[in-house]
Amino acid sequence: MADVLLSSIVGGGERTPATVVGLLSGGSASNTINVQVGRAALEPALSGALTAGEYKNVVSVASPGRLLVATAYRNSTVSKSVGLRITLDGVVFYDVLDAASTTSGSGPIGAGIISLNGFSLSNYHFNTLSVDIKSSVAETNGIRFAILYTLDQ
Amino acid sequence: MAFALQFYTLWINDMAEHYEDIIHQGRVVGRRLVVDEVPDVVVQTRIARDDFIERFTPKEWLAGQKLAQTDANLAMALAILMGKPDGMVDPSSPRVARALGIMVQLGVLTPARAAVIGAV
Repeated sequence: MADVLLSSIVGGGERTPATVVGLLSGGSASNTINVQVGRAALEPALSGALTAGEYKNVVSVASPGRLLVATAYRNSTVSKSVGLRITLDGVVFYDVLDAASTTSGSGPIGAGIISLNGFSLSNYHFNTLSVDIKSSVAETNGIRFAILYTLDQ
Repeated sequence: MAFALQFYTLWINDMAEHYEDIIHQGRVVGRRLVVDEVPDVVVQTRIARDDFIERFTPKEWLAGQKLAQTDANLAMALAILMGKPDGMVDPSSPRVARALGIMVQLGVLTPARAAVIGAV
C-alpha cells in the first residue's frame, strides 16, 4: 500500500515542482514576447535600475498559490542578455540568462508558453515564490517583466 | 517691446522605484517591485501670437502679408498659424518652419532672419 502523507489529507499536499525541463536554456536566443504579453492583457512592470550581472528581486511571496506566467524581456535596443530566476519553495526552479540581443521585446519565459495570441498558462504550485531578473549591462528600465500568479484561499 | 511669454511644460524623469506589500487575506505575504512609469522630459515652448508677429520687422511682416495674397502656399501657412483659437504659436512646430521656409523661398526673409524668428 502506498504511503499516505498526512499533509495530503489535511491540505498542502500538492507537490511543488523542482525544475522545468525543455524550455529555453541558458545562452540561447529568446523569442520576442512583448506582443503576447499585450495580447494576453498581462500587466508588465519596469525593472528600475539594474546593476550589470546582478539579480534583482521583483516579486517575493510567502503564501501558497500557483504560478501561471513569469517572463522578463528587453525594454530597449541596448545589446544585453536577460536573466530570469524563479524560486519555488526555496528551490531554484528556473534560472536562465539568454544570449545577448538588441531585439526589444525578447526575453526568457520560465512559466507559461507563448502562442500566437497570448500565453498558455502554467499551473505551478508553490508555498513560497520568488522571482528575480537581471541584465548583463547596467541600465535603468532596460527590462520589463510580467508575472501572473494566484494565491490560495 | 516684444514680450515673449514662454510656457514650459516639463516632466522630470524622476523615476520612483519602491517595493509594495502584497496583502492577502488581510496580511502581508510578500512584496513586489513597483517602478512608476513617467514620460521622458518633454519641453513644449509656445508663445503668444502677438509676440510671434513682433519677431518680424514691420517691413518683413507687410511683405509676407502682400505675398500671401498671391502665393497660395504662404497664405495657407499663415492662415493656419494665425488662426489657432488659443492664440498661441509654437516656434518649434513644423508649421512655423514651413511658413518661414516659404518666406525665405519668396525672398521675404533671409535664412538667418528665419532662424531668429523661428527660434525656440
